[in-house]
Amino acid sequence: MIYWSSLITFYLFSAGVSAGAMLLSIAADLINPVKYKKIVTTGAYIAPFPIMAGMIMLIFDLERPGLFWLLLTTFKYKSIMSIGAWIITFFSAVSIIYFILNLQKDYLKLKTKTTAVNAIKLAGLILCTSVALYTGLLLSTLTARPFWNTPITPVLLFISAVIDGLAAISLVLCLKPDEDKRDINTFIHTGDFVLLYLLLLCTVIFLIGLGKSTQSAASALGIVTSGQLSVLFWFGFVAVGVVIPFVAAAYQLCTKMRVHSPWLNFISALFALIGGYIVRSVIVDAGQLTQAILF
Amino acid sequence: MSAPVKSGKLAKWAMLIDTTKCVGCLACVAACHNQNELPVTEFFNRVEEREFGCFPNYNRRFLPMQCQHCDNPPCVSVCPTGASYKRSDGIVAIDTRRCIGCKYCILSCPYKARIINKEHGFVHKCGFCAALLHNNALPACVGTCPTGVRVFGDLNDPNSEISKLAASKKVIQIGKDLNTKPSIYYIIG
Repeated sequence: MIYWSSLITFYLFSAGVSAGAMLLSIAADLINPVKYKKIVTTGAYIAPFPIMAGMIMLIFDLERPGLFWLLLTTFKYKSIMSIGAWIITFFSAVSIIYFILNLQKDYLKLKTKTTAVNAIKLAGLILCTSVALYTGLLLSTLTARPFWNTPITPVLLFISAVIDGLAAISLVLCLKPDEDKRDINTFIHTGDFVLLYLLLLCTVIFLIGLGKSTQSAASALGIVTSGQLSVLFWFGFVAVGVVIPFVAAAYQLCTKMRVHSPWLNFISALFALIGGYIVRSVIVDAGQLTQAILF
Repeated sequence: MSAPVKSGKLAKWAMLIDTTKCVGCLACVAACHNQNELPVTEFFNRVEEREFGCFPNYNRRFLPMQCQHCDNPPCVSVCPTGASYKRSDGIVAIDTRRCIGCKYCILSCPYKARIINKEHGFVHKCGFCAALLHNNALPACVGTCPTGVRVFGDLNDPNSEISKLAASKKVIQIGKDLNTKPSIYYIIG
């Protein structure tokens, strides 16, 4: 039975986009703030908004939305959801500060203290990692749900989150195709290639790992390989979410960035985002439709 | 069966369900529904029909299921607001005023013991009829069973029937490998 609707899927997706965009923005800033300036600012501009939309979805998935504030008056260190509620609260705050910080660098041109800026970046790095990690751990720590309860689930969702963040940045950058973006394209395609390669690896490990595990796990796997979610899994998760963006990234890398078709960028980013949503949709639904076999 | 008598110490409530005696009359389901004044479509306990073993050593049994009042309850540790909690007498209870209806506990329970109250939106489940226990009476399902399937008592009292039965080799706990440490023991036979 489905208890967590597509609102939760959307939340996990939007949290992934936000965390991924912020992670890449800060990473690009650490690597080369001048060369990758567009990545830094675009990532910072994207980060606060998807997760806020997601948090609204999250509240409306509750059976008693009016009591959501109880999450913020309690802290239960054993509950991943309680820890997560605090993480996304702090993440939202820091992502807004980071957003303003970049906004003022571009437009307001105020003086800021370097130590304060660095502190925000460090906090942002820790918090976006925590957001991307906790969304996977939320699912993977439930022993009653064999489809979720694997050590590779949070890794898979973490990598997918960074891919989604990169795709969102790439999509926004496609809106201004006239500029010279050689360096930025290298960053995006290399990032895409490496991350999608890892995602492909994680998917294979996930499938073999579940299939060769307990009877519960193997029968849970059946729902995606040949059961009611198989079409969504093979065409959505595997093809749209992993293989097509991977091939697109590999193609763009192999042609040595001579052809920078904004259309190809646009389409592969769009596929990666749609795929990222489907990956979560399949995982959320398959986990709920299957259960540990008690006998 | 006599009422559960507390030994001087704090009680640790537990139940034994002997499926070899169950005839599937569903009196326990009706009694529970009545005792907890539940809406028509909501149930705290159920009786499953399960097949055990392989031919020729094969049998089909009724398997009463409900909240197992685990000693390591996943529903309590996942609850973000502390609405689900473990009482010192072993009962896993819910403070419905603190329940926000996130349904995380429902997904964490391997026994499908938790349900949503459609009217108010909180999650509820079997509470071992704590109010009846307080008045030294047996839980509704135990008291009503016509074939004596259910034995209820205090595990902290070494002389209680449940303590002796729970120590016997015939007894199993369902889903033991999930590390939930259930307080309901079964004889499958």
